[in-house]
Amino acid sequence: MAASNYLLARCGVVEPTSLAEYASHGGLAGLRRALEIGPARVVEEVTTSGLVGRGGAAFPTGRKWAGLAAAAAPKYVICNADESEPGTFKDRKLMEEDPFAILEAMVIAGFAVGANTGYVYIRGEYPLATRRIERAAAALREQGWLGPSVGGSGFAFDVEVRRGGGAYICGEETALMNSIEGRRGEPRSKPPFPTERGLFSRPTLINNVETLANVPLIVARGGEWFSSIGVPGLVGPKLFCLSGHVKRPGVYEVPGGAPLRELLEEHAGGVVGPDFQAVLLGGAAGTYVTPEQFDTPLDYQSLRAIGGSIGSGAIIAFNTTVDIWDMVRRFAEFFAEESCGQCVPCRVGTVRQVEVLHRLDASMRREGDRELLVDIGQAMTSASICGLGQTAAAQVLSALDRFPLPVGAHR
Amino acid sequence: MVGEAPTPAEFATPQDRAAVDAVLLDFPRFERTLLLPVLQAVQAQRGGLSKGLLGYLCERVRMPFAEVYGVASFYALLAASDHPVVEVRLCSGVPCILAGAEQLAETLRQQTSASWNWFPCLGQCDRAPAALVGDEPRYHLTTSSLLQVVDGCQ
Repeated sequence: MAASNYLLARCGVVEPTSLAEYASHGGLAGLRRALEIGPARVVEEVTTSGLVGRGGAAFPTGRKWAGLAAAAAPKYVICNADESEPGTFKDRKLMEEDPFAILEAMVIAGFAVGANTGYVYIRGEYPLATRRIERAAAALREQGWLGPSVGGSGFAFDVEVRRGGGAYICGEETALMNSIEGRRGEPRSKPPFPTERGLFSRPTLINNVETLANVPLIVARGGEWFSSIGVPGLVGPKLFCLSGHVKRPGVYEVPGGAPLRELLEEHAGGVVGPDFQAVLLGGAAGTYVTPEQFDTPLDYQSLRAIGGSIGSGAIIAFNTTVDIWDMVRRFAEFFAEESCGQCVPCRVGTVRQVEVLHRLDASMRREGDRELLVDIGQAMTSASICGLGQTAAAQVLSALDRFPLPVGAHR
Repeated sequence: MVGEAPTPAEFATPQDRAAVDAVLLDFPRFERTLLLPVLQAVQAQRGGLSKGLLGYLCERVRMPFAEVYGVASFYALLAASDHPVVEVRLCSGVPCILAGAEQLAETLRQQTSASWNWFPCLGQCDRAPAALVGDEPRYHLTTSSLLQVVDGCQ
């Protein structure tokens, strides 16, 4: 079984409120080295590492950082901790059990790109993560690792913790920025991208919690070391969130390219119930993967070949007793509820999807409903402003592709 | 003749005003970026954000009612209405449904008088089924553990 124990090395091992324990378990090594080698070489290390964003978009982190480093000050660093993709809870675990690492990474990021202010935007449903991060920030401040002169270097950096208001859409980076600015969390049209015009219209670096968790490791051990983990299609360690019909649901860390079957069978202990019917990979905005595809390596290229994506790293498993179209409808209802309503394809499309999915039973189904779902899906995917609308139809289209339409009238 | 319509602030109770005043002491230099934290802090004191309360807040921070109400009503954890926040938010995420959340809903319907609603995935899928009781997540819920925490709050 391919194991990797870098991102979760301290989780459940150290006392998450103790800076001393954090430091004695490898903590702050990345920041110390960053202050030694200077901003330009930190960006180089991150670029060399091959790290890509773990929030779902898989954008090369080094390229983002280099863009920000070249932008004019003032600029901001944001940690996107508004983890709300259904089936996803890895950021919660990292913040609850290793909060210092996330803040250390933000300081490194600020140092590398030349920002002095950071925001951690944590979903409002994670009060423990919020308390842990706030407490960690206070401890770092007390020891001079946050504040006017980080580690005595003369570089000033501090963070402000913000709690989300309960809106999935605020995980979208520009919606999150609007939320911090005190506005409705509605996404902005891109371009301009946040690296150019982000928070308060200033250049802004925004990274997901898990992305940041990799940074101290990369800077402490070097980008070359990091790039030797995993496979070309997914470099480095990766967290997956297993839930649904598995014996041991939880967050598991594997090197990039580990097969899906291994996560399901070995890490998560196999199926609860008769047998796996499918998993939904990547969260509600993900795609269904069926057992004959379980040997697919979990890396971006291999998954693209089967029409899937890693998304947020969520893997929700369904055994053969599950009415899969009932699940499809529930995920569609989630998007209809969470659409911010700003743009028509998403506002109307998410509701129309639910309507059609409600009448999908053979007894109620209308001629052309399948084609209608495909049509709606294509319009949402190509015409929505943001990632929510662009991906909300993915699971519906994927289900149409993988599963026969329901035959009975049992709902 | 119809008189001038009352402004929202005229519906503010003395308790609403006191809560807004107290919270704004913690935010002496109010800027728009602080709107969500202020709303969260006021709701924590008052258990909701009534129209009168929001109206009074608008007067205090010199913002149009539509802007403040627009923000307050956008966020699911805020109760921008004259009804207080619900006591229990039951996770409707698929992993929670697979783990029996619908039986918990039945329990809430039949065995308690608690106010509750379904709420989108709470991110506790590894310990499903889950709910927010007040602000705190509760997980690995069973009928009896749910009743226990709900009764504990009432």
